[in-house]
Amino acid sequence: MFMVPIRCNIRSKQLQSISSLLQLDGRFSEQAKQLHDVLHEQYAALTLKEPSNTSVDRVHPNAQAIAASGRRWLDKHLDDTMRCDMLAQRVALDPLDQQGIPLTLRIRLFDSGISPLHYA
Amino acid sequence: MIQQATLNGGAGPRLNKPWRLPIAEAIVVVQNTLTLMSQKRLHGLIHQGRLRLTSGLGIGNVCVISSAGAFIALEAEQGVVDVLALSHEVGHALAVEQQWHQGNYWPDEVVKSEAAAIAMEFHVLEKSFSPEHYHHDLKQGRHLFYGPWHLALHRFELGLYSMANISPKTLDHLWQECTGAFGTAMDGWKYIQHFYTSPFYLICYPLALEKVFEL
Repeated sequence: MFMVPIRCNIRSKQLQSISSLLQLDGRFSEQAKQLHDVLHEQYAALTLKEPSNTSVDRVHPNAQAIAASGRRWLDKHLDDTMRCDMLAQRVALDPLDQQGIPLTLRIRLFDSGISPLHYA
Repeated sequence: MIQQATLNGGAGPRLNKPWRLPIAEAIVVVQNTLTLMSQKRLHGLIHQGRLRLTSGLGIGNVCVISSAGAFIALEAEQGVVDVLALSHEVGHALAVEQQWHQGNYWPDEVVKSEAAAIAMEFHVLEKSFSPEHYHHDLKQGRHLFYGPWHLALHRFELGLYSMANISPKTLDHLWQECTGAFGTAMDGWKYIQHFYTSPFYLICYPLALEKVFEL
């Protein structure tokens, strides 16, 4: 019997993938049934807990523009006007989600496997 | 392939006691706390030219992943470096090298990577020989730096999104509101590179600190 490591911070999306793989591979269908049931339960529980976290598995639409603007920090003639302009641009290019969390922050948390519930 | 991993949170003046040594001495301090395997990896990194000292570039202390392995750029003043900054970047580098030796070439996510770096700072503090009270102060300082200080910086960063008008005056006000308790200068927001170049990187430090002491 093969083992699927289950970590306490595994994401619902990963559980979904494991679950789908088990279903697709007929060789393990018998042995994996119990495991599949457990995974299915955990997946259902996690998707209820993390509805918004699962929606950020994508690239920020303005990532390049934010990075390009921020890189002006290294400009030799950096002054307060430029600093304010960079921060204003960053905010303008970074949409808030329904909970008022900026997308860049949402992606940071998602990439680090941090649940927004834990962050809050 | 590049992974940013800098230590440039612009500490409040009372948080970070300096532990500065000439680079050769700082390396010996760090080396002496490491296992033989890690010593060998750090030795390789130094002798392959993957540790460089910089001055006045304004990019902070950095560990990046190159095709040749981890590469560290460390700020120095006339060859003198901050031992904990060196420890931090060595923590990043050794974590990467260890992964490569295990056949994992995918960079760690930020919180995990910062946890490895912060853990190395505390490890060096724990294992090196200096007056104990001084080390105690340094440890306390690192806790304050990575915890409350970076949470204050995060509050400032989030506060930007509620501002109707971003100007030096309104930023000074928000900065005082968020970091005033640390006795910082009025215009400290100007000098925190991450606000401009790495949105919400700073919140990863308190999350990483939490991870270090969870283990």
